[in-house]
Amino acid sequence: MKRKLWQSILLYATVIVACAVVLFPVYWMVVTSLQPPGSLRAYPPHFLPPDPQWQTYIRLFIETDILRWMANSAIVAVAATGISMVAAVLAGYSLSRYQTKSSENVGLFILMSKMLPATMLIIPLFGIMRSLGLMGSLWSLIFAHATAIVPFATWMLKGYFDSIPNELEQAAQVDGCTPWGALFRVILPVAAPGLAATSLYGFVLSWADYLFARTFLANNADSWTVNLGIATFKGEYQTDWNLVMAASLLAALPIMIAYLFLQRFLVGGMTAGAGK
Amino acid sequence: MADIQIQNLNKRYGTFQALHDMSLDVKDGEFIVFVGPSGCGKSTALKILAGLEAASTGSIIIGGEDVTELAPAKRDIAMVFQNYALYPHLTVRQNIGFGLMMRGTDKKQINQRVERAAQALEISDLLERRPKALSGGQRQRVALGRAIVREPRVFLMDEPLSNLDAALRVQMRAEITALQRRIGVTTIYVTHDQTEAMTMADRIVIMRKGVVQQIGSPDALFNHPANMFVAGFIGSPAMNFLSGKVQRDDRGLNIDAGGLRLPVAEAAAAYLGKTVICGIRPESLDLARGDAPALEITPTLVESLGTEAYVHFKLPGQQVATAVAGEHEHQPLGNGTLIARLYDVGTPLSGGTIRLGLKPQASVHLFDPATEQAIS
Repeated sequence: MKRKLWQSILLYATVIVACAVVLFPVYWMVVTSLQPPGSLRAYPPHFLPPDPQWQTYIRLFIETDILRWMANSAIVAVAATGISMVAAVLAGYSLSRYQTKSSENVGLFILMSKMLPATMLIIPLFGIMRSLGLMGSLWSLIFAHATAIVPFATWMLKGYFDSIPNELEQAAQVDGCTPWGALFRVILPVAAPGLAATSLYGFVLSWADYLFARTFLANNADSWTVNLGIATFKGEYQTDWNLVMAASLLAALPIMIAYLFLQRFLVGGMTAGAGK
Repeated sequence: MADIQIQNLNKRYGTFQALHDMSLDVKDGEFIVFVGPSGCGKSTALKILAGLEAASTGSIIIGGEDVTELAPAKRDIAMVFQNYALYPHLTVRQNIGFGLMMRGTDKKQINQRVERAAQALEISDLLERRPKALSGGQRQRVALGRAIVREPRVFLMDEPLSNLDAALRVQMRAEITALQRRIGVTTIYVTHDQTEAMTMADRIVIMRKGVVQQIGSPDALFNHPANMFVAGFIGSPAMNFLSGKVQRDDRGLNIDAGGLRLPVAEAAAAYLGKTVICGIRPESLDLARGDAPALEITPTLVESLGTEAYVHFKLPGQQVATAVAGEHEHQPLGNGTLIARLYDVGTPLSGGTIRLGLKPQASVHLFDPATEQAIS
């Protein structure tokens, strides 16, 4: 159906406004990172910095431990996502396929744990990590993030598994697979978009965390994650906002790269053609 | 290839009994069709045969080997699913070769066998495509290819044609039958379509509510139905049922059903003076000639199909509700509509009254009204 001119105009106008709302803060981060702190409050504001201060980025690498913080964040995010995905795949698959009287209750219980605010979990987790001797270790953060990722990831994956016809793994079993073989050779490849979306969700959740990191890692500067590190730029009397913004932009890069790589998986439609 | 023995198979889901004591011997190379309305247990039986469902009790023996407890992979069977169940992430070549790969067949041999199967099914040019780029008919062929390439002992097919349009269904029906005859693999085919059952099967197993009603060749089921359910299910349009009293006059034992004098066999003598149910196939009725006893009817609907016409009519107080009412598309329409299938009618029929008589040689099936079993 051909779109009328006014419909096209309305559509593009909506898209442009939506993009502007989403992208302006990022743009303002770039502008702020390239201006000296003194001109941040200039009026009228500079939408294009008159004298871009690229050396802010060089300072970031020379004067701070940003690379180590980013590496720590990456280790935590990858490990927490990995552990969570193993648990969530198996939990989601069993909730989807092996339905018993109790599975519905188990499913709701898992989802309910996601409804608790993170601040409520901090105290018991703090006690657990201290008794395990994990305070200050990246493992404390990995496990804490996994507890936050697994419930929602399980539900996301259950939804994806529900959309895959049972006959696919039955066909695989008749073709010679064990139930495990059918899961790994057929169901998981078919659920790739779901796995990608869920992994990305877990990665972002872990990467963006500040609360858990602040609680478990504050006393060990070697284990700081990028968000914890950036928070230390805020001084008592003065804050280098250009440095904060430059570091924040760098911290956002891995997420953007992950989105770019996983974009094709995030667009569903893998099961098209499985059935009628 | 192998014979199959199904012995006293039962399947319960909690308190619901999906399959009651099913027993069946299938000969090597035979084409068996399980047919029945939705929920009759035919697909459950097939899944138990495949090993995808566990039997509650009973056993399954394939080629002399008890496979009741074996995993699907160990039964050496192939299955075609209603929705084809093609692996969407694999190409047609990989789909067809998947079973061989799982069994550790040499890569070169897999390719040869896949190509041979593809050639037999005329899908050689589709081998590098993925399932989403195929039409329904092509997907069906790929599903068949995946089954035949393994050269299994048994083929199991679960309503494989139900997602195809009418014309393609007729074509694929003939192709599957020809393919099975050519390769001679013992086949069990599930359908709810009695036409498929009649045209494809060596023997039909007709089921209702988990109970096998009758096992026999298509001709045997059509001509000698064991009960009202079988009589009503097999044949399209479905058999008409009328009630009538068994009586004896100077021309022998007969039944008066709504003015139609139906001669019946001596076997019905035990019911003399009692009411029985008479089953008359729509094609057994014809326009009455002369002054022979006939049904005076006013058609409620005439469906002309060119060479034949389906004349719908009612006989108030006469028609009998069938045992399968509402369970199958080939039922007489609700509230007791009967159908006559008339050939070479010539003149339009709707409007006035017409007289219907029984064709010479047409058989009348009698059923006990209490048990619904055939009176033989």
